[in-house]
Amino acid sequence: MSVRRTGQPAAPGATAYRISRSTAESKAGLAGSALLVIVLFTLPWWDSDGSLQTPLVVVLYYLGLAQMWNLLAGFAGMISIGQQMFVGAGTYALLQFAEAWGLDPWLSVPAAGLVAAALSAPVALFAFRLSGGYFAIGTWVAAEAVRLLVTESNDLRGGDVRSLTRESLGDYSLETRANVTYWLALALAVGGTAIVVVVLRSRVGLALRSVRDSEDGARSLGIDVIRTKALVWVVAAFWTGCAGAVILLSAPSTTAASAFSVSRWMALVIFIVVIGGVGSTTGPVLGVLVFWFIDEQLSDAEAWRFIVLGGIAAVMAIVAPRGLYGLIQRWRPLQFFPVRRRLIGPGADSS
Amino acid sequence: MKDNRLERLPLAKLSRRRFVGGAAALGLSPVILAACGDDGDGASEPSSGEATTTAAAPTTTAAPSPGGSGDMPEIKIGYVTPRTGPLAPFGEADSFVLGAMAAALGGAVEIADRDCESDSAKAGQATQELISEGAHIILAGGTPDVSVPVAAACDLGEVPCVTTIAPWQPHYLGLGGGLGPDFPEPPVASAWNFHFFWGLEDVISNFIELWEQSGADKVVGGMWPNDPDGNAWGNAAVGFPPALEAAGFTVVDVGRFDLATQDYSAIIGQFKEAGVQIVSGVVPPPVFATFQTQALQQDFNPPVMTMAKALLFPSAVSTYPQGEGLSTEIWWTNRHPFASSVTGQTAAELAAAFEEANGVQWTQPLGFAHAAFEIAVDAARRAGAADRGALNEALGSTSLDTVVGPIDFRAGPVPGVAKTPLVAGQWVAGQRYPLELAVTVNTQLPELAVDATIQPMS
Repeated sequence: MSVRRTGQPAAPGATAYRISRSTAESKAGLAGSALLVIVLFTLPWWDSDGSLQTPLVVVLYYLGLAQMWNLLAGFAGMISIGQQMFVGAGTYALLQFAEAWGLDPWLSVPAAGLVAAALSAPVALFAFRLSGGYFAIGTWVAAEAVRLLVTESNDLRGGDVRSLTRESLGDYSLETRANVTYWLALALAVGGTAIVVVVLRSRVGLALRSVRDSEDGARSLGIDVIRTKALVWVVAAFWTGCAGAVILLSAPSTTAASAFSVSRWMALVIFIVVIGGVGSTTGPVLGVLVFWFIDEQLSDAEAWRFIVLGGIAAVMAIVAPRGLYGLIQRWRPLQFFPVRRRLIGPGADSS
Repeated sequence: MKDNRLERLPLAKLSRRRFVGGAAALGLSPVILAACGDDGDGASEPSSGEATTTAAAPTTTAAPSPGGSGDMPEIKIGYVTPRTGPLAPFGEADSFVLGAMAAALGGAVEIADRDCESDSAKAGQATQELISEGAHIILAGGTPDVSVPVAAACDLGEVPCVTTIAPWQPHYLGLGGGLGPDFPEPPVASAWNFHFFWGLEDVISNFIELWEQSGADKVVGGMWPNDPDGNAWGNAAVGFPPALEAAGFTVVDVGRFDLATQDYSAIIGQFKEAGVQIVSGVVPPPVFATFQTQALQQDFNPPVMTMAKALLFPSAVSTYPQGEGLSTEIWWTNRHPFASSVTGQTAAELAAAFEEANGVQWTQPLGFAHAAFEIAVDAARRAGAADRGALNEALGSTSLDTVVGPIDFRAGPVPGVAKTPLVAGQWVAGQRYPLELAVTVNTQLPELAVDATIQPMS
């Protein structure tokens, strides 16, 4: 990881202040993450019966969704409750491309993401006029409207159960289908995290956080607020749409009620981000692990599961509003993904 | 899941009842285990979600198991039903059935069960997980919203699958089957799926007989929503509207409405204006609760309300503003003249065991959930090996007398479908429970005595 310097380059040997993003932990974090990704990537070869692979698909696509919502809500201050509209758009786009039109199911995944991105533009036109709680409700209303359109459409038949069948997936063996679906879910998780890190390290990331903290303040500094927000909104919609397509590949059936479910694609995603730590790149990773663990423990609790999940979220919101990652930071300011600039004084031996 | 409010409200209400039911089943299991001289080995949970239920007891108190377990291969059975969400009443008998089956079948069978949360995509995902965990056969049921995705995932995964509790047309069509003049020979929807239940033709003929018996004016208000059931039931070719019109009824069809609707004023107004005397349709319990509340508030109280899906369960009917007098299709009762091929229990004995264990009134899914296991066990015995292909072949030649009646997968109306008899009846004030189901139409099962004649709702 190269150290990026800003301002005047220090004279050789001189003691000077400099600004750095990377830390010892962030280097360890990146190395550890790289190793983890390699281990996960090779999983199909050593988890031969697939008993770990199938549940991991769910964990991984949830991490992808969580990172995208975190990018919007945690870094850009855009608290959308309507991301399920992009999940559903991706799901139905894949059904249409692969099942109805016979396109390759794997290539249809990014195409489904593009459909979601295209949908996000008209939604932005009116949603961006709203802010705060109104933005949240506006996006939810938009998602419900899209769900109703899909439900009523005679082509999409959102009221019926629709499935991917041998028609679209029959060209591939069982094993290929399982493995490619898994790798796509892994790409969603890793790519989603990478998108957040890359965006935050760019000038846009700096602009985003200033927009989150004060739109007027950001505007007065010369930031194009609408352009900045639109960029992450479309990127998040694209990635969420890809996730919707992968969700269908992993499940293979859906209805509009499932694909546009606010409880599955919004409430649980918010839970993951809030538990893990909103506004941090590590938070959603921690959150998804906690969610996975709790979900496994409570699988037999039936409706109590939702009550317990809700209770945990409520307690966390009061006790630790920055989530688990916030708790860890209170203990030690660790940063596994270097997105924050730190001032390093003379004599500091860090990196 | 449709609308948040719609899901959460009944869910919170049901959860408590279901939890008590589960606790009661837990309380019972030590009795079964103790009776077999084998207790405290941690297997005292009759049902467990992600974890698998391994049977601890070799035999049960109920009856000798015909066929024994000597020729029974060790198989893993996956089980997917809705246990939370609007369809939760369909899974109400699950913890009892799973516990009883684990006890009756001994160590030969491992059962892994999943709650699909009344969600189609979740049902498919749960099935994928069960397949990857090595399930040899998967059982599922509780409306086509559940049976179709489970069967679709099994078809892709090449795992035998037995589904039930969904009329066969929406299931078969949803799985890719074809009916009508374009299909002189009905195609095989899935070579890996076997479905047993009744069909639209049966519910239509039962309802018509019920309504003719009631003497109400032949004006039917139809509430067939935009969901897999509603789209088939309201279908202009195979559904209710053409059949009712042919039988001389006037049909007021409100169209395929969205189930997330919270305001039924427009529908109620349309019914009132048209002079609807009979309200029918197929909606989940929470939707009917909302509809009936608003209908009564708006002074719409037709003499006959015959609703499928919503009026099947005592736990649901008892929560409606006016439960008494509602009429419904009946797939199974505790008086059905059939017995289990696994435990030997008659329908009456099975229902009594359920009531004793759970402390609540028997419910129709009990018989069908039990029968699904009967079919799986029978196929396993005949296949003689824990092999998906062999099990699938054995399922295809199933001809078995179960607690819901004879099941023959070779005979069915379309490939892979077996029909069970359907009757109809009405909720009346009971002796043991506040509301009990009285059979008023028994044309398809004359051995089952009729309890009463349908009475108009006051």
